[in-house]
Amino acid sequence: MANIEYLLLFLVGSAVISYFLTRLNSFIGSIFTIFATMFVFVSLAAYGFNMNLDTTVSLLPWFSFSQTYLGFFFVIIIAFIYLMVSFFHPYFLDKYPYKNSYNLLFLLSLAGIIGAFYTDHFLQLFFFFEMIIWTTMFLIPQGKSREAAVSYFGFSLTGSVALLIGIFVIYQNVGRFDIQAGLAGISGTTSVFVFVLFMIAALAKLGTFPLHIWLPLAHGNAPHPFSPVLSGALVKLGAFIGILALIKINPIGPVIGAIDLALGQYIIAFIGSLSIVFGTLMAIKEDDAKKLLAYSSMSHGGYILVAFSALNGFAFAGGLYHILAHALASAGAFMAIAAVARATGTTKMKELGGMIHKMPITYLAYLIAIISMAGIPPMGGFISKWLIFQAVIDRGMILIAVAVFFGSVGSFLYVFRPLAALFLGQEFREYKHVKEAPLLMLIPTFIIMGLNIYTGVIPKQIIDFINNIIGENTAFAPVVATTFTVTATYGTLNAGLIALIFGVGVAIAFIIFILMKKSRKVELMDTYTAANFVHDEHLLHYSVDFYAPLERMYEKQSHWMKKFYDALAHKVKEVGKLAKYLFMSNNIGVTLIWILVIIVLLIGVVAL
Amino acid sequence: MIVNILVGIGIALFGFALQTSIGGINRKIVGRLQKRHGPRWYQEFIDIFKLLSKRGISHGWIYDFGVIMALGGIIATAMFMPLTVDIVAFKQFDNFFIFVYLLAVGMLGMAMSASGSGNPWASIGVMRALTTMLAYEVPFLIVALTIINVSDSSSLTAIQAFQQTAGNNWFIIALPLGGLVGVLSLMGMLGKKPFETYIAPAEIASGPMVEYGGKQLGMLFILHEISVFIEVSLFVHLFLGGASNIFIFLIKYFTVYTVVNLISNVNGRFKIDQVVKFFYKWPLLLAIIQAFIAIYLGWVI
Amino acid sequence: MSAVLLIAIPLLAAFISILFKKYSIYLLFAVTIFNIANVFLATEGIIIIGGFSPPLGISLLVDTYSKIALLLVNALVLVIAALNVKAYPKYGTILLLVVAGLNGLVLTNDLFNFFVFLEISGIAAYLITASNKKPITTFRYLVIGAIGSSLFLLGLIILYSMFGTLNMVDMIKEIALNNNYQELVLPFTLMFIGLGVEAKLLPFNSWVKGILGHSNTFSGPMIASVYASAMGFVLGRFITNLFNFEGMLLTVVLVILVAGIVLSDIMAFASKKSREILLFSSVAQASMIALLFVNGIIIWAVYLIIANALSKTVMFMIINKAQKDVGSDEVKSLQGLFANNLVIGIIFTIATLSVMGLPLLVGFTIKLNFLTELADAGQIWTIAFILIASVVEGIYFVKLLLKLWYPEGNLIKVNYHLSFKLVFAIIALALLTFGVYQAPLDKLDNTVDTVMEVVNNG
Repeated sequence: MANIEYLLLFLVGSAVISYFLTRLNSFIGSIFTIFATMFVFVSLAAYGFNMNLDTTVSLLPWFSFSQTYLGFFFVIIIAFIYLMVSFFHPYFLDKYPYKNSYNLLFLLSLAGIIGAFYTDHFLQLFFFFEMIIWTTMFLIPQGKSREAAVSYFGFSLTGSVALLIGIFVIYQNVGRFDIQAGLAGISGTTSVFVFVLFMIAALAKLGTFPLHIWLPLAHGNAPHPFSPVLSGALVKLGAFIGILALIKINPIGPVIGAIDLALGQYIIAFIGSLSIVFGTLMAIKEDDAKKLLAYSSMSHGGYILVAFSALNGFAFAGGLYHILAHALASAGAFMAIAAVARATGTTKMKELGGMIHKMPITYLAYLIAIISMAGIPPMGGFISKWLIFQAVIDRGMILIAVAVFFGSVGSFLYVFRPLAALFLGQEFREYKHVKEAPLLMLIPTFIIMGLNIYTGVIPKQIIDFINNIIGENTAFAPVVATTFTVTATYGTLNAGLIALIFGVGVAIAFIIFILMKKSRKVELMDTYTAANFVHDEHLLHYSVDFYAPLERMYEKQSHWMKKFYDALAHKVKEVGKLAKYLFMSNNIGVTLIWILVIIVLLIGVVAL
Repeated sequence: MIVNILVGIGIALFGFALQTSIGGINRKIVGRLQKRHGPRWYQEFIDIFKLLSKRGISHGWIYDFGVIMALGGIIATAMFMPLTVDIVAFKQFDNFFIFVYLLAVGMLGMAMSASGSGNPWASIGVMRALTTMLAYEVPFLIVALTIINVSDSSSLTAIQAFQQTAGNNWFIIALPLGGLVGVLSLMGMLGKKPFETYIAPAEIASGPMVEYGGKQLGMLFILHEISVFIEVSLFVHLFLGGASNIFIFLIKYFTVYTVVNLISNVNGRFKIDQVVKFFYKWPLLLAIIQAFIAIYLGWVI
Repeated sequence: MSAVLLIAIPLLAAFISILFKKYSIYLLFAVTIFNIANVFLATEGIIIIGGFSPPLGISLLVDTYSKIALLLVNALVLVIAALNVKAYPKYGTILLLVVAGLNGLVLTNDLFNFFVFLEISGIAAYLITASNKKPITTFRYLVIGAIGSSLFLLGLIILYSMFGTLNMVDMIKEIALNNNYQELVLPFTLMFIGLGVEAKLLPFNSWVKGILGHSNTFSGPMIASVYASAMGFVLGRFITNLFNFEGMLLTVVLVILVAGIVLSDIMAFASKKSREILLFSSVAQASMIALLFVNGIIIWAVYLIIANALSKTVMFMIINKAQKDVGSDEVKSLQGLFANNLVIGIIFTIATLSVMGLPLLVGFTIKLNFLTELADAGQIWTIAFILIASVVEGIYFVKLLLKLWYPEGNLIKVNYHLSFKLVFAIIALALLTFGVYQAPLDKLDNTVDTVMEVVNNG
């Protein structure tokens, strides 16, 4: 079944079946969902890499599909995240108010994803985008908050609307809805206009500054198994649109001589860097582990924008690599948090502590994920960040570099917080009964751990595939890579060697450790407390306001954006009230006045 | 490959021995400054070996694992470090970013272990260490960006070679503002006063180290010595033209470490938010100005 | 069978029903069923009444356009009356008048005759809204409706004095010969406003808030669906054939309509009562429909009318029933309405998503098609405004949906009769089916409206 049309129909069919199965028994329904997702993923993986999927349509004649390397890159990552997350469903669904629809909407949104990346028609792209939005919008409120879903929907819809207006502008100029032809066919002011509209869509979906408000709300409050999908998969739709705008449309405008880059791209890079800084600062002060990771997604969205704005081969490759690395890292981190939340019922860091002693594997998964997220070798995030750094230095984008480096160092700070507050530190007595996640949930955990390391050690296959994308979509030079190395302007990175040497270092340290006298094991409570007797482990756990001195420095400013959007909503409401007052008055005279005004106006104009 | 790895281990070992000795000598110098005799120059070796041989406590597996990971990461970083243009374990692969980020693995391991000890002072120390890092890294990386852009390579040996080429000055002269920022950042990296807030012995009971003793503390001492070696060597290679032979390296290394140590001894201690404010005010501004004039205007002395 | 019967029989039945008050509602069922059958059998073309050939006598025009309108109106009246047969059994006579009036409006080719039907249906509408038990709002509706129809009449008189004919086809011919649009601005404006009052276009529609804001399961769908769609069809007929807005008038009308869409959606955004949200959404849809007609996108306007009528019937009935049982239409007090009414919830959701124009539902198909045609016409700014309004619309509808789905505190109890569920389910299924399977919609095109054909070919 390597036909896209069949895959779509299969997913829609399984969605309906999963509804009834879940109704019957949520465990059976979820297992069915795992197999359905797995089937789709395997079909895509088996045929898609070599572009061997069948794109003909017979049952859905009003659709048309074509396969591209770029689309496949996204679709395989997202389908993979969906597959991984589906393993969590059996253990979470029972908690949700409308669990029957959960698998249905989950599979429908996957169908939307596949359609979106395989279609070659703009309106169908919009169709699939909207389908993804509304199906996922109904998944989010099953978690903690309804507001979150509204915010997610509002921003996503703003993005889609900008996209659709852009599509119609293209259509007006080119006369057709074909994606490739449409993007190639516009020029001049039109292309600037479309560029702006597409970028609004990209920013909204990627959750980058200034359209990021929904991100922490949605990620933080979504059902636990859905947050990894949002962060690892769905925000990447924005990156896709961003590529279309930055690389494919690439409007010709004024060029900034010093860095040899078009103004449009520089502005986007600047927005990206703002996003990095804001995301990092907000993540540092966040107390909810999931919201913290959400802000980290915002900052990583910024990296992706910076990468695609830099307009050269290794920057582009770095951006794509970052999409993959971040998808794996954030999915891994969110899934670890989900496992903890399942066991303890909270994601607030101040309520948690010492989970490592009960859930060591989950801890390890989180550790590996954040190492990649912070861009530390030997994980995938390092290679992508390294490529992005090369691009930034190569262009000499100094101000952008400040943000890029700030985000990179800042990420050490915020990824460490859940590690310290949630997994490490004192072991709380209320979680004594907690056990490690069940085996079914550990399967994806292990797979993602493995892939995080794989992407950081053996970049060859991934870079090769990215080179296909570069050849397909751009005129950039491909990136040179051997099994373990990647080469960019300022030198060669040997990822395999780094991993090896790290291993050697750890081995030496381990030998020193093992040769010396064995330590005496003491309780966690048995610590230096300046001779005070502390009886409650909560008092010995430093986790609330971890970076308090730093947070205090921008406490006031951190609410600006939220206030702005609150004020915006308020203003719209006020306009609505004014309009009601003006048009919907109980006084008939008001209506009469309007009628008269219009008649007089028209007569006046005509008489003139 | 095996030979390269052995060379790398040799460099790490050399670095450890070098820094421990120079650290001892510096204690002596500072002692003399303060009208004391000061300890013997090999006092630090004695401390470390004593600690390693003692029986300490352990707060659980992450407490031990973190220490191993930390020391492993630092040893790995040191193995990449070139001593001179020729003495380097992995030619071409001594990429600048490896030193920044592989070092972070070590730091992460140590932070993990400290937090795993369950002592809140340790966590506060870690918080302060990370905050300090956020402060000094950004200006430093901007200067490094300028250097890489100017010398057209991110390999440390290539950067050394660029400075040693006839007609090129050392970067501390070529980029004077950047050099100044480099010195300040180095002091932050080394945790020298006024940036030693995260250890702050009388304030937070030695911060991250509060729970350690025995072999764990010994290993952390080794870690500290090697990381100082890495940071000072990085400064030598980036700003002082590196070294064409090992003696020049030793001289430069000794000078840098001693000067920084002397400066720090006449300073008080910043509060942690003052550290951040400080680095984001002048050093960052200077680094950006330096980058502007070096990259956009091409004014390199 | 003759199309005249479509008007004559309901009128006759209305008189008869006065004698048999108890059975009037059953008479209505019989008449509407007969009408629906009649629509299928009626032959297309001009039907001359009383043997006077036009332009002298009254004539009716039967074409696909009017057939669609007739089917929709009669079927909806039947369904709404049937579902309310227990709650509002005494409205048989009035509904028969409604059927006669609206059928006449849709069919007639004579402008004065049109005015008569406008009055008949108007009076019937006032009587229906009396069931709201809010006489003051009905009174306001009556006054504004009277102003509207007098404006229409005034415009009509001016036209008559200019061209000496009341036959629409004839008048179009005369206007084409005369070819001076400037003179027509005043009468057309008056007529447009007159119809705009009934079709609830902003800013002529202040009655809507009172009427639909206090509506019940009967008056709500009657006004928001039946009347709205009949008026939509009629307005469309006038705009495409008679008005043919040009120049300044076109600009003003476009501005009024676009502002109507945007402002109505913003007003809905600012509302906290569920019925108000629905009614403002209806106002926005009415402006949208008129906008499409102004741009000559007839067929998609027709589909939009149908989809909107179906969705709004479902939505108003569900909300109004809940309001009746709970005693409040504040969204807050209806929270968690669907927690116990899963089927109703799903149906309401489908209807809402269709109105919002989300994929897999017919609203999306319609939206994309008319936007494409607007793009063809070069109306990129109109598209932008429509879409920006749709963001606001999306947000308030999603807010409403989520509030209705997720209970807060006590569960409220509302029971929906099985017949409700059945009918609604069929409607929801239709919305879904045509959303997925577009082919049947493509069978019809803008030629459904044949007035110009008649004008050109006699």
